[in-house]
Amino acid sequence: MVALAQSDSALLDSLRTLRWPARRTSPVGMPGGHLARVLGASAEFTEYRAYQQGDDTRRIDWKLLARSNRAYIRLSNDRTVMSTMLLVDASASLAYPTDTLEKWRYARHVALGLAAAAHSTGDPVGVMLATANGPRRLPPRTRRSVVYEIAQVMDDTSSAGSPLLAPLLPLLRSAGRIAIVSDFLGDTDPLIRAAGQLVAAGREVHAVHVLHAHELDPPRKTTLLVDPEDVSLKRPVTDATRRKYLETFGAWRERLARDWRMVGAYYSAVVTTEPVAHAVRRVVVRRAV
Amino acid sequence: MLSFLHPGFLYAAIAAAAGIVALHFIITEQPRTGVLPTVRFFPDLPARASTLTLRLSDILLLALRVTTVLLIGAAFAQPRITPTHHTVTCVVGINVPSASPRAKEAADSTLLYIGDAAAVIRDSSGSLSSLLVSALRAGARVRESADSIELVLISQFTTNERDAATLAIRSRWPGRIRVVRIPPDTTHQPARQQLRVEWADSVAGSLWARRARVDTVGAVAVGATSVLIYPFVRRWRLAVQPGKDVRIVARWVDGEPAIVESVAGGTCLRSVSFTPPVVGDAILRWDFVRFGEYVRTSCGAATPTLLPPEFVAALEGPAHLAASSAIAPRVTRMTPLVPWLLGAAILLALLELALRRQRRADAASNEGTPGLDRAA
Repeated sequence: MVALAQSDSALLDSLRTLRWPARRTSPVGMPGGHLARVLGASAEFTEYRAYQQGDDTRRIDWKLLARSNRAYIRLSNDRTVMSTMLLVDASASLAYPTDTLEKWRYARHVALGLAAAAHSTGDPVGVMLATANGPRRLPPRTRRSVVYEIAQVMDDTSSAGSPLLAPLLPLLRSAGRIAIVSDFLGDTDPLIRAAGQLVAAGREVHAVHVLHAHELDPPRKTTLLVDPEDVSLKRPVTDATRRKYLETFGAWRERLARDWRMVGAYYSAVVTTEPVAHAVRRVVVRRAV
Repeated sequence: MLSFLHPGFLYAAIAAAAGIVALHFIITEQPRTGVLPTVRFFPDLPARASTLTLRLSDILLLALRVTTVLLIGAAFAQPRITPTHHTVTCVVGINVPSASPRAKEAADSTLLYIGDAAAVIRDSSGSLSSLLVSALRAGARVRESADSIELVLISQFTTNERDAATLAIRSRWPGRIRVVRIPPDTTHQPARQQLRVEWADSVAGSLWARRARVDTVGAVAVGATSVLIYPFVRRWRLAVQPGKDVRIVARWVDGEPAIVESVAGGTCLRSVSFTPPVVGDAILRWDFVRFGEYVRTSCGAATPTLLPPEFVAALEGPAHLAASSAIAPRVTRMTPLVPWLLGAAILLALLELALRRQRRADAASNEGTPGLDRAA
C-alpha cells in the first residue's frame, strides 16, 4: 500500500461519499453505474420491441408469444462503466510560487479528488501527466489501490518546462471521460480543438482551470514580473498596467470558458483559495443524466 | 559645555555613521522581481526602474543604525559637562567678617569683580591662609572654564590675618593675586587705657563659655607678635559675638578666637582662654617671651597694624596670571551618562533587528500561500 501524505488522506476522507455520475449515456461496456447508450438485455425490464430479423431469438418473450401469438423481445436499460482519464498539466507555469509550489499542489489535489470520485463510482480511472520529459501514463484501473498509485505518480512528478497537451489528448480516446487539469497557458487552442473532436466522438470532456489567487490579484509590492516558462518575458507592474492586466486576463478567462463550452466540454475554474474538496464537488456534482 | 574625554571614539563613530549613510545611498536597489505565470497578460511596456531612492522603511533603518553607532561612539568617548570656556576668569576671596563695619565696603569691592568671577569665596575666619586654601580649591574647580585664572583677595590685610604658613600657601598659586585692601576699622580702637588681664581658666567671665568637648590645639597665633606652639588644652569658646565691643587679638590655629579684648569703664580687659605653661622649656622660647611681653602691654599698643608693603608685594606675586594648566585638576569620575548611552544603543540595536525581521516577514507574506492546507 502506498503511503499517503496527511493532506491527501484528509482530502480522500472528505470525498469518501462523492460519486461522479456521467452527464450523458455511455457506450456499452462492462457493467457499471452509468446508463448505457443502447438498451440491452439485463434483468431490469424497460420495454418491448417487435422482433426483427437478426435479433437474438433468446431475447424473445416466449410467454407473451404464447398468449398473443406475437413475437416481442424484452429491452432493458443497460448500466455500464465509464473509463476516466485525467490529463494533468505539469508545466512550469504551475510551479508557482517557486518556494511552495502551491498552484501545482492544488492542481495535484484536484486531480486526486477527481480520481477518488470516479473510483468511488466504480469506474476505472487512470492518469496521464504532461511533463517536460514526456507523458507519464497510468492506464485506467478499477483496483482498490489505483487512487494511491495516481497520488504516487503525481508525487514523483515535478512541474517544469512547457509540455504540450493537445498531442496527448487523442491518446486518451479509449476513455469515456477525460478531465483536463491545467492552467491552459500553453497550447490552448489546439487543445480545445482536439477536445472538440473527442466530444464529437461521444466522450465526456471536463476542463478544470486552475488559478492561483495571485493571478487574480497580482501582488502590488512587486515591480517587475517574469514568466516562469519564458524568463525573457518581463513586464513592469504599475497601477496602470495592473488595471490593464485585470481587464485583459478577465476577458481571456471569459473567452476560454466560452470556447470550452462551445465544443461541448464542461469548464470549471478553481482558485487556490478555495478548499480543494469544495472545488472537486463543484466539478463533479452537476446535472447528471 | 559638553566635552569628551576621548573624542577619537566619537570621530570614529561619525565616520562609521557617514559610511552607513553612504551605503544607503550607494547601494542601488534592484527592482523587486517576482514570478507570475500569467505575466503575458500585462501590457508590454518598457520596464524602467528608478534607482537611488529611499523609501520610508529605509530611512527608519538608516536612522536607527546611525543613532546606534553615534550613541556607542559617544559612550566610549565619555562625555563630560564642563562650564563655558573663557579666556580669563577670576576667583574672588573675601576675608571681611559680615559683622565688621567694613563689610559694606568689602561688598562694594566685590561687585567690581563678581561679574567675571567663576567662584566667590567668603572666609570669616580672619586668616589669609585659610582664604588661600579655599581659593586654591576653587581654582582647581574652575580651571576647565578658562585659560587663565586671576585670584582676587579682598581683605583689610592686617597683621592679625597673617600667619607663618601664609606665604607658603600663597606659593601654591601659580600666578598673580590681586590684592584689594579694605581700610581697617579704627573707630573702635581704644585709647591707652588701664589694662586688666583675665585668665579664663582662673576666672570664668561672661566672655567665655565652657566647651562641650575639651580638646588640645597645637598652637595659638597672637597677631603678628608670636605663634605659640604648645599642647594647650582648649576648654573655652567665645560666648559673645566679636565686633565693636569685643575684639579678637589672638586665634587658635583653626581660626577660633583665643584672646579677646574689651573695654569696660575705662579699663581694657584682655581675656585669655588658655593658661600658658609656667614651667618647662617652653617658657624659654622666644615666642613665649614675646607673648609674655604682649600680655603686659596696653590695649592700644595691641591694635593690629597693616601688613608691611613687602609682605603684600610677596602676596601679590608675579605679574602674570595663573595658567589653568598649572593648577592641579580635581580628580574626575566617569560620567553617569555612559551606561545610559550604551543602554540606549543596545535598545536601538534591538529595535533595528526587530524592524528588519518584520520587513523580512512582510516580504515573505507577500509571496504568501493563502491556504492549500484547507483542503478538507
